[in-house]
Amino acid sequence: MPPLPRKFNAEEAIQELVEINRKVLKGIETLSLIREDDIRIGASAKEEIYREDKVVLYRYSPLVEQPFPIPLLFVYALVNRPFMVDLQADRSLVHNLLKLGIDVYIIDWGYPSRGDRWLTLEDYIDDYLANCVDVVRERHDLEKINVLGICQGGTFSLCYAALYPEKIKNLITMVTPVDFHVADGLLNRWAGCTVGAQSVNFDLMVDALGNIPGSFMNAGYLMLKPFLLGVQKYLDVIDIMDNEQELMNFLRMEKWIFDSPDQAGEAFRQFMKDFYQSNKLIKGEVKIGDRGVDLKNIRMPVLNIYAEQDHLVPPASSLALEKYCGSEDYKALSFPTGHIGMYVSGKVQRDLPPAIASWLKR
Amino acid sequence: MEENFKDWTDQVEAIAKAWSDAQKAIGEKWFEFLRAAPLASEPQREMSEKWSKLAQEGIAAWTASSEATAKGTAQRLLAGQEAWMKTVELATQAWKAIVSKMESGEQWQSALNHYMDDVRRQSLQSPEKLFKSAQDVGELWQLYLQEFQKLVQPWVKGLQQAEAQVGRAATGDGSALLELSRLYWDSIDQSVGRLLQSPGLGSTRELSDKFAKGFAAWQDLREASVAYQVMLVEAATRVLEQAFKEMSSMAERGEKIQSVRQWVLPLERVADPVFAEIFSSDEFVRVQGRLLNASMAYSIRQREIVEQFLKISDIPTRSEVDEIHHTLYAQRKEIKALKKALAECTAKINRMTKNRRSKV
Repeated sequence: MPPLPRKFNAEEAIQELVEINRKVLKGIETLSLIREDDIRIGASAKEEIYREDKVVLYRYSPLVEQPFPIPLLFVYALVNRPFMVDLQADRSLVHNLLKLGIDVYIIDWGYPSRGDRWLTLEDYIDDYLANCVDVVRERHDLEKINVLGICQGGTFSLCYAALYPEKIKNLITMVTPVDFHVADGLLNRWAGCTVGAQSVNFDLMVDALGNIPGSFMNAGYLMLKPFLLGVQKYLDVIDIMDNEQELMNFLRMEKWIFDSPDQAGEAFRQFMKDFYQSNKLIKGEVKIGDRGVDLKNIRMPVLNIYAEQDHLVPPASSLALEKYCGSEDYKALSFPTGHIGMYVSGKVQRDLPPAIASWLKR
Repeated sequence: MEENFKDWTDQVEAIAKAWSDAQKAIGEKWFEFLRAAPLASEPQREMSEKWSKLAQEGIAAWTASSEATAKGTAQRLLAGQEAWMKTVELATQAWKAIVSKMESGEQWQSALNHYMDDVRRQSLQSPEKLFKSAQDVGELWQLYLQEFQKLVQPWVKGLQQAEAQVGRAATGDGSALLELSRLYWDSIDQSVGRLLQSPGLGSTRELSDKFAKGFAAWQDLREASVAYQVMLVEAATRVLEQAFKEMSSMAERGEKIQSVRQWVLPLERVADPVFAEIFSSDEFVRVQGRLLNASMAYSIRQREIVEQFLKISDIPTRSEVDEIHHTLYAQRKEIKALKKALAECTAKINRMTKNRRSKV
């Protein structure tokens, strides 16, 4: 006889079914009353400092009278919106850093449209990012500023730091892919780190789609954990349907996840082919425009932060930085969480901001 | 406004009551079934279908005016619920099948393996049919051309008749090619015949070639889709298999499933690790890559055909718009570079002027 954990009491089970569906009904009723504007992401006050094409540089309003003199520029990925770092007041890396006296800037890459289909990595790194750094330097009359790059934004920051080491005082990379051929990363494998050209033909993809739709990217991310992200999450939410605050937290996260900008075609092509497929970053073969990126040029202090359970950027991929960068002042810092947990986990938000602030002020 | 709100509330209450009643009735049936397993009836399927129908009605009524995030969440919430219902259904079906085999003296592990083999066979029936139909060129042409029907109506009418000719031609019947040619010409007469004298537009060979390449790309996409579906079915079957093994382990560990909702617990524990194992295999990466590449290649071929018709109608094509964007992009870069150079020159002149003045 196959062991079956338990036979149910029919009446109890029916009652449970009805109760679950009552909650679902109540939840949908609540959801139907929520307007898009009610779900606000980005809790901290900020002002626009500089704008170029669709890219906007913001400065967050300092929360202390005398902020730390060297500002920190956040460089986020092109995938998803940058305001995950300021999701809501009690889950905000930005807010916590502001409270600790850090002067924070952030780049919003915007939503590329068809007209941006030809933007290259050179445009993003050697134009937009470079100009934002210069604007911050000029505003504070500084030769060097601090940069914090997140995920793909971390990879961009590494390229920039290698090209312009004289403009960066301290470099922080967070959940940043460096070695794209670490085989335990599903994204790395899907992009072809093991089977090469037999995986995805990114030339064909960009030629066919132009810009890569955000929804297309999202479908791929959901496939990494189809049950958890497609089913389980929405079963679990039933339990918080009658708690408005928790429901709003959930909706903010949902909004962030599905608010995915399209990817500018040429930049996507180059990133996927040169970084994911050919792993050129650690080989010193990446070209931004006509200039080569040599990670050995990164001699400024480096703080490399990674998530121990990251399913998007495996720890080994981030940790490769130590081997390839030229910095003698290198420190790695990890947290027992996943890729997204780095921004929203209560425990991480308790420990990460002070770690960053004290490292910058050391 | 108040009246509307009252109507809306009444509507919600009515649907909620109907839903709850339906759930209760369906639930009762389901448990009758459980008690009597392994009977032949499948009330759980009915439960799942009714639930799905109610869910769709509910979501349409309640989120009609709500906005993107809330609406999307409601839809995903219901999809999650539906998936859970399906899980219960699958678990019950499997339980029924396994018990039935054990009653005829089979060990439960072996019964589970046999059941999973059945699931695989049933699930793959459809893809196998697709594979088979992939050999029937005429049928495929018909399906393929249906995709262009609205856009290129006169052409398609001719070509739909042509599918039989294509099949005959493929078997070496030369007369079919002549017939095919006549159908092409009829189509041309109905659509762009008046433009045929124009150089560059009148080449039937060009358009036929585009259709043929489109067909080849579409066929490749179908084959790639089938291969991908087969892998997904295999993945899902393995997940289910592991879920039952986990259920058995739970019982051995003394863990109890305390509620209907906890039916999903074994699945929750095994699903994503099993998916991850399969999805990270080189074989899956190749199959997925083939599907994506075939899909993109077909998209490009499709665009080539559409653009041909857009050109005939003097409507700008996507390729032309891309070209314009590229020109604008290049000019924007040039202007930025010139502005930067101008700023540097201006700064240099200002410095020189300042130095000269200070010397004077």
